[in-house]
Parts: sequence; structure tokens; C-alpha cells
Amino acid sequence: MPTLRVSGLHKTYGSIMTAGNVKALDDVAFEVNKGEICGLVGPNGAGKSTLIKVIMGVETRDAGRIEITEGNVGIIGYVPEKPIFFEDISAYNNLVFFARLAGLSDVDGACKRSLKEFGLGGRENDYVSSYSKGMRQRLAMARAVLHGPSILIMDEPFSGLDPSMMIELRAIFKRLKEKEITMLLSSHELNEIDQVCSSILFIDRGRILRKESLEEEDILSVQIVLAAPNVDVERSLGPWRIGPISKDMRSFVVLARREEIPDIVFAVTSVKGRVEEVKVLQRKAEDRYADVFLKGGA
Amino acid sequence: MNELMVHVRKDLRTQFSDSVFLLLVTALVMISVLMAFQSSISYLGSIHNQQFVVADLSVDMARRQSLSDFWGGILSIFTIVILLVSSFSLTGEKETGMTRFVLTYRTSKFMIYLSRFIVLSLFVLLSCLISLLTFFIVFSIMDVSVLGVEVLLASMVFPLLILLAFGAFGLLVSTLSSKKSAVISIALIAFVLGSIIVPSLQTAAYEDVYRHHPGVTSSNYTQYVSFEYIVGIFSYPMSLREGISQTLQLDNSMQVHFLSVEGDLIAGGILVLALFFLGFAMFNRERMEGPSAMKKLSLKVGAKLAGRRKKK
Repeated sequence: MPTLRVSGLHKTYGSIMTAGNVKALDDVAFEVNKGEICGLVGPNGAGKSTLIKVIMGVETRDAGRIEITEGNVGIIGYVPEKPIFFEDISAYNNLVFFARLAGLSDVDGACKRSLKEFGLGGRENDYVSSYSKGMRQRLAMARAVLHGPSILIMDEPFSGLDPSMMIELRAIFKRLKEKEITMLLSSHELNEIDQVCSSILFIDRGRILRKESLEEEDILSVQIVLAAPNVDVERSLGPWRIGPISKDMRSFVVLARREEIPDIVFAVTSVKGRVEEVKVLQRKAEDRYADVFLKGGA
Repeated sequence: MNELMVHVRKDLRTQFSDSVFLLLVTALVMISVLMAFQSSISYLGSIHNQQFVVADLSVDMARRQSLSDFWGGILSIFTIVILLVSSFSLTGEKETGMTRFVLTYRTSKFMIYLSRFIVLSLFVLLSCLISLLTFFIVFSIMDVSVLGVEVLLASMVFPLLILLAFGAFGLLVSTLSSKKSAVISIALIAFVLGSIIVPSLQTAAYEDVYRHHPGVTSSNYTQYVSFEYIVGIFSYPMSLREGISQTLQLDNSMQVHFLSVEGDLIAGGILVLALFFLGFAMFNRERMEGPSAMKKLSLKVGAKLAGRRKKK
């Protein structure tokens, strides 16, 4: 059952002079299921931010439906590309305002808990204008989940963060995933998409090209790299389907389930093969991106 | 908590924590002190210049005149200050995108707008009270007996109404653009145009009356002025200044009055409300779910134009 369903979404920019035909979104349709973290990926100007703004109602749409089928239909948690706050009041008072708007009953408790959860506990009374970029990002996340939304939509949450902040943010995503919050996030950081998302939505020129799952498949491509060539290894891998083998007989790709990896290693070592490395070959977001946008796979 | 109160509390908090606000209040106090000194000095001059024993009645009239002059001086500066402050009240948040972000919380646009107007009205009230208090203190320091409190407070009604009208106009202007430079330009152009057009309109009204009633004079023509001219004249808030001299019961034959005190009050009230609702109508365009009527029209015409181009 999808939590967020978008269908027939159209958005054009332009005036009478430009014939109103600058299509920002062209018949966009997709679904995001409960608990799914969906990465929205595409080149600059593909329509990612416009799509997010239209879903949030920050931008108007010309046509189309946006349906939220589960949870708090009223308010979606939203983290804009550049988090905006009331700069000259404290982080706590910023949250208090939004908590009251969302109609929370225990405003004080909810705000303090949220600030603490996102590591801003000691700085809650500082003006937001004194916050660093990472703190602003954390505060934006705290604000977005304050009212317990079932859907969280984020525009470029990793943009401009340093590595330690990225690690922090990844941990936050993990916590939110445990709460089964459905998330849609746009990003150019394909490595982060790999680590955080369970699916990936490709968009270009306002059209959704395809949606792919990033969940681990049942049958994996396992690469066994040997310290020295061994001709007996191929025979020892008989029970499994064997993929490409390197010419120097040092690298073998085996198609197997994850739980079978120890058996594969045992089989190789039993024929005196010295295992140097075992790798699970997975198609990364970057490979998928290249397939879609660079090799004309769309 | 009531939705309006949520907005008002936040707006008050952001307003009072802004360092510009403190600077502005200090400036308003200093301007008030200067104006009060000027009024008290001209009052003392007008009393001392009289060679004979001065009657109580003329002393009272001189005090009232000095209070009226004081308000005139205050209004000439405060109107611009209030106009600029109010012009920025929504622009800053529109510029950053905060207004649209807040609207994602399904809050009422009317509550946001009303809250801004309430906070702005409180600022206008504070400005008038500061002015009046300064006038009272300065006159007391100069050892001049001041008019009664009820007269002082009554004299504040029209300045308050004028400043409120300018505030409502500034708020309306702030809904028109998300660029501060554009908003300032619109506000100042409107202010200058108003101050040029309205006196011309008064002259035109006089000439119009004189054509139909040749016997009228410049002091009594106002009772024959047509409704259209009245509407035109009172669409500029400064026209309400005639209410100050009427409230203070100044016997000034040079001053013409288009309306009675009650009429001025009603005109002022209508002007403030009209500007408020016009501003809200403009603000209401923010974050519409579907395309606006203009956008729909633009899309239709655009599609037709594109079709014609293809045929060619």
C-alpha cells in the first residue's frame, strides 16, 4: 500500500510570451510505500526541487493528484534545500512556534526532546543565526519530525555537509527508518543514496524515467579473489552458478545467497585456494545513474 | 492555543528580539523630543510676543495649537518610518521563503496577515504613546502647564488612525513583491504621488464647486464637494489630519474641513479596513493548490499561440 501516490502531475513555467511551455514537470507519476526511503536523482534542472516544492504546495501545480494514504495527512515533514528559520529567535522558540502550529499538546516536552534527540540540547536557547550549517540541518530535521509525520520530504539534505555531519545525518536516517517514516529525498550524493535509500527514482526534464529498488537481491554476485592462481577452485565451486572468471584464474564470480558465502570460502580453501578477498558485487547507485543518464538507458 | 495567538506571540518575539527595533524606538524617542522642544519654544514665543495681558482662553488655544503643530511634525516623519517598517513586515519572510514554508503547516493565511497587522498596530500605538509622553515631559520640564490628559489622549486618535492607515498600506505593499528594493520603491512612489495628487484634487474640488456655486468661498466650499472628490481625497491618509484640529477645537479660519469629526473617524476606519482587506486579498495569492486565474489564462493563450506557430 503506497503512503505517497503522485499521478499526472504537470507544472509549467513561463508566461504568454513564452507560450507557457517551459515544462518543469511532465505527467509525473510514482508511488512511495510505507517505510520506504526513496532517493530522487537526476541532473541539474531535471525537476527534483520543483517536484518536491509542488508536493509540499510551496509551488502551484497545473494539474495532477498528490495522495497521502496513510498517517497524518495534514502535515508532511519537510526539509527544504536551504533550511529557513526565524533567525533572531532561539532554536527552541522556533520549534515552539511550529509545534503550536501543528497543534501538539505537550509543546515544551516535544521541543526539548526533539532538540536533545538531534544533538542540540545544550544550544537550544541560542539564536539560530549563530548556528553552523550542520546545526541548521539538524534543527531542520528536528522541526520536520517534531509533529510525528508519516512522510518526510527532503531536498538535498546532504548538500554542503562535511564528512562528520554526513555520518551524523546517516545515523539520523537510520533512526527515522526504524520509526517506519516514509521518506523522499533528492540528492546528487549517490554514495549517500546507496547507504540510506531503499529505492531510487530517476527524473530528467520533468519526467520520471524509472524507479529501481536498492534493496539487496536474494541472489548476490560474490567475487572471490585468490592470493595465487588455482585451477582447482573452479571445480570446487561446482554446486553454485559461476559467473566471469579472470584469465589469470585468480578472480571468480559466484552467484549465491548471502548465507552461502562461508560455504563458498570453505569449498575454495578445501582445494588449497588461498582466499585474499571476498566481495559482494552490487550495482551501486552510481552504476545505475550511469546506465540511465550516460549510456542512454532511459 | 488559539492559532492567531500562536502567530501574534511569534511575531512579537521576532519583532522585539530584532536589534533594528530597539534602534527604531530610540530614533522615534529622539524625534519626539526634538519636536516637543520645537513646539514648546514656539508656544512660549507666541505667548511672550503678546504685549498685553493674555486671556486664559487664548493661552488655552495657543497650547492646543502647539499640540496640533507637534502632531503635524511627528506625522511628517513617523508616516515614512511606519510605511517603511510595514513594507518590510512580510517581504523579508517572502524573500527567504519562510511565508510559504509556514503555509505548508496548513495554517490560515488570514491569521498570518491579521497577526502582522496586530503587531504593526501595537507598534503604531507605542509610537504615538511615546510621542505623547515625550510632549508631556518636555512641556513639564519647560515649566509650561500642559493640557488635560483627556485632551492629550483625544488628540492622539487621528494621528493613530493616520499611522494605522499608512501601516495597512505598507503591509499591502509588502505582499506585492519579495524583493525589498521593489517594495521600498513602490511605497515611496505611492507616498510621493499621494502627497502631490491630493492637494491637486482639493484644488480641483474647489474649482468644480465654484463652477456650480459661484458664491462660495475657500472657507465654505467643502460642504458642496461631491462624494467622488471626498473618496479621492480621503483615499490618502494624510487628509485625515483635519480631524486633529477638529478634535482640539482649534478656531482656525484657514483650515478647511471636508467632514465632521465623526465623518473623519468613519472615513479613517473605512480606509484602514479597505487597505487591510485589499492587502489580504493580495497575500491570499500565496501558495495556491492549483494554478491562478492568470496562469490558466496564460496557459490557454500560450497553447493557442504555440499552435499557430506550428501551423505556420
